[in-house]
Amino acid sequence: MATAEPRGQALTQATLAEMPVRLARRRTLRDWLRAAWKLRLSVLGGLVLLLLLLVAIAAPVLTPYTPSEGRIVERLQPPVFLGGSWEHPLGTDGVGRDYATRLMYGARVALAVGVLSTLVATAIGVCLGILAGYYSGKIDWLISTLVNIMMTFPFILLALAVIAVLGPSFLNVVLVLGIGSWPIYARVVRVEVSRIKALEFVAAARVIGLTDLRIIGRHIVPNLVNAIIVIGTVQIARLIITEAFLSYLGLGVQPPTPSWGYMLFESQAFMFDPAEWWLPMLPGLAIFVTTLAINLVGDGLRDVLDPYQRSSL
Amino acid sequence: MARYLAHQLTQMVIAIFGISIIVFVITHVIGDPTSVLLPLDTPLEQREEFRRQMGFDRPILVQYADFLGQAIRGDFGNSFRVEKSALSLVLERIPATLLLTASATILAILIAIPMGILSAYKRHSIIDNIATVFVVAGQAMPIYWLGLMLIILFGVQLKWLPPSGYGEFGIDRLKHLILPTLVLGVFLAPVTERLVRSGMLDALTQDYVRTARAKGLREWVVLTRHALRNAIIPVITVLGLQFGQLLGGAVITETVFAWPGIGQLTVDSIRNADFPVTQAAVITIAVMISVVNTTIDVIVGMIDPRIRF
Repeated sequence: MATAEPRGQALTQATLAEMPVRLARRRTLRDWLRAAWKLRLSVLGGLVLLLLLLVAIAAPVLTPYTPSEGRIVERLQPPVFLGGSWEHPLGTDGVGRDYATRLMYGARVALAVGVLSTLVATAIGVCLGILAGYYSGKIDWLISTLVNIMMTFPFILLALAVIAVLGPSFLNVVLVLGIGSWPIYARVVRVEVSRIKALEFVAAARVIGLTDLRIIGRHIVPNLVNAIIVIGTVQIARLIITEAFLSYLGLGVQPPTPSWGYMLFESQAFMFDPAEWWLPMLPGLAIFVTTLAINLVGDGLRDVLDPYQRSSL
Repeated sequence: MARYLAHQLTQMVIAIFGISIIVFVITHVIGDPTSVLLPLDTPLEQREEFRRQMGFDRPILVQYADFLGQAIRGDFGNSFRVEKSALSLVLERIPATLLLTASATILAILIAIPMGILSAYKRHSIIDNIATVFVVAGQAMPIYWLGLMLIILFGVQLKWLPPSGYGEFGIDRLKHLILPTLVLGVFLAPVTERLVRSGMLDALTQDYVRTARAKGLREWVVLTRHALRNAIIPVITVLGLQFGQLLGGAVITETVFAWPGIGQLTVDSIRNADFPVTQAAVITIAVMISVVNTTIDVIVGMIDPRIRF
């Protein structure tokens, strides 16, 4: 990530103090361990996330059951920690489907929607942010106004309305979440670009006659990468929460594809049965653990990549 | 001041205008109103005839001008479900939403201010770490799930509180209010705590705090009278600007607890394809947010003349 150093920035005391160490010797294992200990929560979050990813990918190998077929005679078996059998470690749902299997497959939907919609949002937001920051004037006014409107209005309502009109499907959910959440990138990128634009190396690039496209691509975008990664990470978690809410309302990814939000919706039927409290607990816990892990990783990335905290704008 | 006020009001009109375009595009351009209004098996000719009658075959700009003209007069048509004007359905839900958002804001402030002060004052202490855990967990929390868990714990298992609904006016209403307030409070408190903490961290390094301490004032007075007073201004501003996000949280909370506010109505209308109500609700929410934001901006501008220029 060496290209992304804020080159125009004056060296502060802190960076000066760090430099000799960086130049003098290669980092040893001890240095790495010390850094990892400093960021231990983020490392833990990263490990949890890695585990989730593996489970999501390897779900068919890890379980003998399928997520959508159940045996009604085996319905509502309690999980192991409530005295159930190891045959269904996390019990079975109202139609006898293995709950652990459904949770594992649900991780696929959550992670896929989270990552893909974040990519859509990043693409739109970064482009519009660069346009606004680099060219300023009318186009800046238009984009900034749109960003302000979208950021003050509760995004969930527009997402719901669009999904209701288009019809719920995996692709529509990804698109709507992506199109609804780009303003945060545009806002941060716009400020960064207009800051970088004024620095000497951009002026120099202009003097030697580079085109705008080349200046943006070669000299500005690399300086945006860190901030974008930091926002993107946290956004994945937010969009996973939003996707699950859409599914909880029946407006997300459609059954038989198992999603955590839809499992929550299904489990509501048993909410008033005092013995079945674990049914709504587990899918929500899965969402919570995932978003917590992602946020912890995001915090760590912010410390490492964005020491000036610009992306918290 | 007059110029500043005019500028703020223009911004407000632009924002509401922008939302009206977005709503119109969603309901009329992306979506086809006839597909919702008519039964699925309607033959094509009948559909076309219906489009003509409703004016959906006219140019899109004409339709928008029509929509805007009626919206300005508060006329969104009648609900498809109930024989009532869409706007009146929306307006009668506002008190419930205001009750919920107000009590959640109060709860969030009651949690966030002491926590923020303490964690800034005793930075890197156990208290600060606990506050950080609370903030990180709160931000990762899917609040609809928290709501379901609270319903199960306090409404079903312990039977201390009603699991959902609005209740009768009086003590009953307050009992119904507790769980939704908790959920929405948890939604709002983490952001607020971070704002208070960073504001206090900044304020505590200022000269006026040192002067206050040098005068021999008690630490408590220094913290509340001198540091907090300065740290709280950006908190109020940001909380005001977060009103939209708060309403977003209210949409989720109201849905989980069957709290009859404007958020629940909007979600219901979207699920029932009740377009007039959806449009009226979304525009009303946009107006509410704009009014709150503009009011905050104007108040802040009055307090702090630097912002006006």
